[in-house]
Amino acid sequence: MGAEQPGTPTAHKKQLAKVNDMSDDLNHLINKNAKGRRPQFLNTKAEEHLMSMTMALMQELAVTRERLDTLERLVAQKGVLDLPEIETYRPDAEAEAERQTAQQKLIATVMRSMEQEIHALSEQETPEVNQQLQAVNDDRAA
Amino acid sequence: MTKAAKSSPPAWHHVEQHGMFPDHDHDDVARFNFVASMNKYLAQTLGAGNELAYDKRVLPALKKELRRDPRSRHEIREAMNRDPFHSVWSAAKRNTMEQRQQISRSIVLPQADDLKERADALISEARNLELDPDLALPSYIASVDHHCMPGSYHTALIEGDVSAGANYDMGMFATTGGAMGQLTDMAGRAVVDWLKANHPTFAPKRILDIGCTIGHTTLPIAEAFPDAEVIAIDVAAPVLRYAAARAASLGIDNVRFVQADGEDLSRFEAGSFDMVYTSMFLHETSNAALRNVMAEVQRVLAPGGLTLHLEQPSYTEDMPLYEQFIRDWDAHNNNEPFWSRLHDLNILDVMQDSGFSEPELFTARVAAATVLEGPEDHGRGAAWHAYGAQKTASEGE
Ligand SMILES: C[S@@+](CC[C@H](N)C(=O)[O-])C[C@H]1O[C@@H](n2cnc3c(N)ncnc32)[C@H](O)[C@@H]1O
Repeated sequence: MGAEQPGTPTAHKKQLAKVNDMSDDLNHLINKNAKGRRPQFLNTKAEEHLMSMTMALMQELAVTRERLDTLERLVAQKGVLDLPEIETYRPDAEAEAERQTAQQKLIATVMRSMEQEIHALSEQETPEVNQQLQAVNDDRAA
Repeated sequence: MTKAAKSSPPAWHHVEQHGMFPDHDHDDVARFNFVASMNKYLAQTLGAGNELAYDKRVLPALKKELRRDPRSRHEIREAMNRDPFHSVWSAAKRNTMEQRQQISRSIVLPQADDLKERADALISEARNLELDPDLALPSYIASVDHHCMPGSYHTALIEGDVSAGANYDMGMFATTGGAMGQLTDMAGRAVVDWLKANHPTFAPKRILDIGCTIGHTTLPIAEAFPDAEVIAIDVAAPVLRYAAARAASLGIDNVRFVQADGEDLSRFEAGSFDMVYTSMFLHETSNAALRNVMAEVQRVLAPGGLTLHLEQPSYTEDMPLYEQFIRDWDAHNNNEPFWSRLHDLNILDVMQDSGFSEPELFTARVAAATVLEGPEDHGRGAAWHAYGAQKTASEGE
């Protein structure tokens, strides 16, 4: 492998020098594209962006929830909050189970429309159900 | 006590913190927890929706359009890619791959210098690592970053960089939902279990692992045969450096990580290994490279020796087309350009072309049971299809 090829220390030396003192460049490096064609799954590029943003938001919301959970548990446990403790908090088996379940719940909430499509695909909506709904609505209106 | 929802993967903090493991904080762990949960949700809960969409609307429409049943997974893929449910599912899945990379890069890159120093202290060039800066990178590796890994296995950001290895190691527990164990070593343990069950007296003196990456699969095999000399090769230096340091930190001292190309094992004499194996390697090589590798494997394997190649199952005629289509997702959407063609191949045919005779060849199911610490039953089987050969022992042996 020649020294000037991409992927060699020589080619990245400049990048590293920047990385050490500029966080913008570090972010740029972290968010680098993987070499190769990225497929377009949705109709437009804009939809692709919306999807990526939604996924990232979901991730960060999950992270915030988990951090909050840690905070609440620690506060309750100790009565006092020692901030560095958050970084080393390790859930016990019960807390782990609760937190993993919470992750699933959050995901199911955000992904509702997809689950609903599955329901719609697996169940035939019968006229009978609609009649029941109509009856309930009529009751309310009365 | 509360049980985690059935579909929950184990939380990421179960991952084993060996001596090379990057430092990370609370929110890093939470990010991995999210990705693992999301992956599982996409695979299980929403995965069922793909098949429903196929059965209920995509297949009927496709049959009408073609006036016959679909004949290939490619026809199914084209039709499924137009389906709104599958498109959104795919877009979400692709994003989890990209998110997984961003999470570990955001952890690893800021501490690249520290990790390099940690590795330097653990590596001994004389004993467990041999790099070859002149080795040419195969073009099929250089041209695409496998599974959306920016910079792939081989990019060094600094001199002596190990960040590609650290990045790869960190995310594995999340992308596999913990199914590969706390050290991501299930494949190696499965090989050991398989050998014990099928070749109980097999005691290899020299073992070769081709495409070892960071030695996830190498170490349990080295541990099971402590008297054996294990040589683990890869073309990428950053992952090899990390592998050598990781092995040292875990106290494994009979593995030597060597930068070499599996297509050219001329540094090793014919018949000099009792065991040669690969794990999830074949699908990341071009078909031409695969043939070269197999020819070399046949050459360096000693009479009586065993060769074993762990892969996902090939798309045989009896595999339903829908299953072929869904197994092929990574090929088209996760930068796995050789995946599809590899799984169309009969690997045993390739091995036969490389000089193995038909009676020497076999296939096997190689599996291990996942055991995770703690009271939770997160157990999930980890199983592979293995393509193998036992070289006929020479006269008088
Ligand atoms: C998916 S990884 C293998 C994972 C590993 N065997 C395990 O079980 O954990 C594929 C690896 O093969 C390496 N590789 C690809 N082509 C190669 C070649 N011709 N010779 C040696 N290594 C190669 C890549 O650099 C990469 O590290």
